[in-house]
Amino acid sequence: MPVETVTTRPEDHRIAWLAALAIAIHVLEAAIPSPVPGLKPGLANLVTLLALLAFGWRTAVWVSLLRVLVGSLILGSFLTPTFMLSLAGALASLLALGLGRALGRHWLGPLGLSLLAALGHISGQFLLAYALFIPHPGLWHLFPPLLTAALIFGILNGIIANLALQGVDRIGTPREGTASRT
Amino acid sequence: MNTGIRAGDFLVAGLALVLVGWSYVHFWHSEPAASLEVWVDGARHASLPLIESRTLAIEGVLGASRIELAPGRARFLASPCESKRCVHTGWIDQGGMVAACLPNRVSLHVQGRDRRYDAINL
Repeated sequence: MPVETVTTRPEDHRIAWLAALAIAIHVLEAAIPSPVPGLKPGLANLVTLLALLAFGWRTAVWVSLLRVLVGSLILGSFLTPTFMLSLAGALASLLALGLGRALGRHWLGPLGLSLLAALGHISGQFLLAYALFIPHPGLWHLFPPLLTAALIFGILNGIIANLALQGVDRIGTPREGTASRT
Repeated sequence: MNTGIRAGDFLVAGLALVLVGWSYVHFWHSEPAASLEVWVDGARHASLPLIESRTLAIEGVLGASRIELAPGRARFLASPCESKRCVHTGWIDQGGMVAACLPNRVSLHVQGRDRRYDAINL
């Protein structure tokens, strides 16, 4: 019987590991009660940011989209409005990260990128919610507090990303073989 | 690797702060009421400017609701309903505010100066 072998590159393993981490955080975060729909610390996005900074844009896109897809399958929200909002947020935040990366590779650190991602995330979600689900002008009353939350969590996540990257720097940059050993 | 706080981070944080401030001003501002719409049984009954003080009786499903108009505000004075929630709502004075008497099917909507006009409300 012929055996199909799929050859995987170290990069694939890296993406899988990071995505698994992001998915775990995504599911855990879904269990945290929230006073306002859409208000979340966004720790899962932290993984996307770290992936971008440590391994580049391609890895970040993979990790982010896999997180949204698999996270929704686990939570049972695939193709529901929750999933679409999640996807819109992820795409908008990737767009913001891409722009931030392209414009300021050398003068923009994790903090700025994290803020851009958080603000992009909530804006993308909000636009979709308004365009598709609740096209009522009253919805926009929710926007300022959610934007404030994005500002706070964006800064907090940026600080965490900074600390994490400094930790990685201290241990040494991940070698190619590390991710695929297990 | 790109660690540490950089100049661009402060710029982004500053701009984000401005954006948040602007969002409160833009989305949470309310303006003083300039006109009143009276709805009865799902249809627009009257559209009145809130310039002078006067009281009106609006005939609803149960009976007459007495309403009071004043410069920049309006309220229910009396209503034939049981709970009197409409009366307890008190004055409504900011654009977009509503006071309603559901049993009597009468509701008051006040609007700010830049309300949109349409074919009925010119």
